[in-house]
Amino acid sequence: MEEIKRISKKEKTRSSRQKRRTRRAYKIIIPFFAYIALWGILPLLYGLYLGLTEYNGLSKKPVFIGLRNYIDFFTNSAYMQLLWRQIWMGAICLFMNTLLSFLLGLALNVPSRARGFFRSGIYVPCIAATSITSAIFIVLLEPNGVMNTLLKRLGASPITWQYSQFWMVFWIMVYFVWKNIGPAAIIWLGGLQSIDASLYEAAKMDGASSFQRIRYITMPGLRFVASYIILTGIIGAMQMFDVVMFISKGNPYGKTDILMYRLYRDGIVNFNMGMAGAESTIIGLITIVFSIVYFRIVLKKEDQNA
Amino acid sequence: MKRKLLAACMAATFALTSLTGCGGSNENAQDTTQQKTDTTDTAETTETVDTAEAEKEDTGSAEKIHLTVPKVGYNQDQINTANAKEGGPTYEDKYYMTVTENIAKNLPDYEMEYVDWGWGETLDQKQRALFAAGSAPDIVAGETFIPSYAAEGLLEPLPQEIVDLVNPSFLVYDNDGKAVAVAYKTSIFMIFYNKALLEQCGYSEDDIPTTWDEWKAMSDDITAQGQGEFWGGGIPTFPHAGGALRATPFFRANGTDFAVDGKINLDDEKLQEVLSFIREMNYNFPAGLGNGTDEFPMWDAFHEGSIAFVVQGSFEGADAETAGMDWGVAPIPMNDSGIDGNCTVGSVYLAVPKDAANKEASFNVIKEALSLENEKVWLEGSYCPAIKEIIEDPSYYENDKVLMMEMQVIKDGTYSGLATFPKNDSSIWEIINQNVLARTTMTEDPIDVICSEAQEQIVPLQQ
Repeated sequence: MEEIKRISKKEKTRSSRQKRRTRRAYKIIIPFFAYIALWGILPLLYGLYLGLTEYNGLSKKPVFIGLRNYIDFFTNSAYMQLLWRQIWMGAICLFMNTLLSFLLGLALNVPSRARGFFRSGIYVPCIAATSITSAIFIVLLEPNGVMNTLLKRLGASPITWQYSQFWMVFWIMVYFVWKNIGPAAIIWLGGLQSIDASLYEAAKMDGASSFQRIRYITMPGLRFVASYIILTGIIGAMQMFDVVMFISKGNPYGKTDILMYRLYRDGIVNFNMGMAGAESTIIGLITIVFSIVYFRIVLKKEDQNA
Repeated sequence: MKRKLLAACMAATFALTSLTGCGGSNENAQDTTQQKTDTTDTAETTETVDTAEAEKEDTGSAEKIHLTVPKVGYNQDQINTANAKEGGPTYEDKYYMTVTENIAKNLPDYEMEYVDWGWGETLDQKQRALFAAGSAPDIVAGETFIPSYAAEGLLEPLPQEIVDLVNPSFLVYDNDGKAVAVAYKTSIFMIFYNKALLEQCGYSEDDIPTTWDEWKAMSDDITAQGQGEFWGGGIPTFPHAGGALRATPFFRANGTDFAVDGKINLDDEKLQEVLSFIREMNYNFPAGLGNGTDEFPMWDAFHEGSIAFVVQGSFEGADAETAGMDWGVAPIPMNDSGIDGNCTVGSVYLAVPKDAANKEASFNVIKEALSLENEKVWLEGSYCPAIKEIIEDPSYYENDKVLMMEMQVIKDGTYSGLATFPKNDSSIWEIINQNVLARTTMTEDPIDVICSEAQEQIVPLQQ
């Protein structure tokens, strides 16, 4: 009997200690939840609500108009063009950034005395202010700028870059890759260095070529790193707007305009808050769908490999 | 026991540190307030505020009317920045510093908070945020977006005294036709020319064009003589308001505009005629200069002598003088219609929101900003001040050739800024700037196709 009482008391103590711990844990995480709710969830809900209203920031209250902003979005060819351009321009930037950063990661993994210098060097564009570096970029592309002076010296005709959609997309991509290649390359490098070196030695002894070692050891070993880079890249590409804003401002005559840049202008330049709310909901949902589809593909491959 | 003791010690240390921190913060906050808020008792605005005086002001400020105003005067930080400029304060700095001093002297019961909320979009965003929050400032300022505030019915009608004081071109009206905003300065467009370049091409000041045909012929000839080294110049079509502003006088001279009764007017043949003229004139710019995103390469090219003509506001006179070039100025050439069209630019409108706490005091501040002593300062920068007393008395500006011309134009007619659209104004202007004006000069697409495609995009925005 004494023994039962003792066990019961022990259990009670344990249970009350458990409750105290739980309470303490909640006390610790509640401020973080409150922070996320205040700065993340509430604005998100307000954005969803604004998408159902007409509001120019001047009238006292947003006017509820139901799904009219969404209908306008899907029936206006201009918005659909912007969405399509966001997708294909983002896809080009993502593809080039992923490919070139992988190659750069491979290069940085080669033992060399200058490796540390280059590893730091490629990160510099990422920490430099976009407003400043893009301003320099624009000066390079002016009709009488450095690029055209260089072309003239090489005997070629100068190009009016600003008149051409092709060239402006090209320079947006160049700037995007230049700016974002560093962090991606460092992540690739981290992945490369986590692969067991003995696998390469064994493959070498079995007579595998360099390409075969990359194809059969490096690439499967970087599967999770690749998933991370591509998934965050998809989100980044769907959110891409600062590069367009600084480099082309959507020009020539709107041919490089994309949905995220339009969203920014609709929201805080043109004060069409309702449409901006609807656009942000649409682009958010599309990004989620792309991410889920990609994730499913990766998981499916995982299952097949297993 | 040890843990309790440790916890007590830590709590005590934390409390002590927090209290010390609070004390420090208060001192800092006080300092910041003294720096940022410029009270009207500070007559000697260019000198550092003495601590003892500041304390005295703080005691008295409880009875004063506190007004928060952008673009009327300068706070101490702005005064310090202006004084530190190489070559001293500019005419713009001088105006704001003079207004600050005069308000301090003439309206001693007001405690002025001169806020620097930037200009253009930045200022608009700040003011709209305050309107939305129900805490509008005592005075709102701006240029292109002030008509939107007026159309929305947010602004208090101006007292008749202010309306009578200024030229009608300086007023903005609400939907009921009441004047609700007034600009303390503005400018209109003219053509500025490089005398040396004209002489080099065999032209004198007697040959300055007065019609579109004369201008085109002269500009084409200069471009041909330049052989890629210099150009005649034309009408800019920058893909932003800078392009629309400079093109508008030509549309108005042809008896048309982008908006008629608030409705988009791109299918108007007269408007399309002007677009054809703009396209032809654009061949007198090097590629990418007349329709670039950045305006400054064009003004640099003019100052450096590679462009003969530019369309610019009267303030170009002061800029050309600073650049040390030999320049001249003429009214915008007219076409066969004989209509003298123009458009105001560089206006700074002030208005009092209906929700403002101290409307009477705010209007008194606007009156002070429009006083003769303050307004005279704008003449230094070849800007046109608003008050009739100056505009109608040439003795104030008889030595300034730009102002003589500008004042005559202002006296002869009533002008306004860009046309406004009652709904989605900025979005519509964006389409006009990029997809109509810039596309006209960047491509060879048929003008009617350009206009009809843009019209299709704009019509849904007006519904």
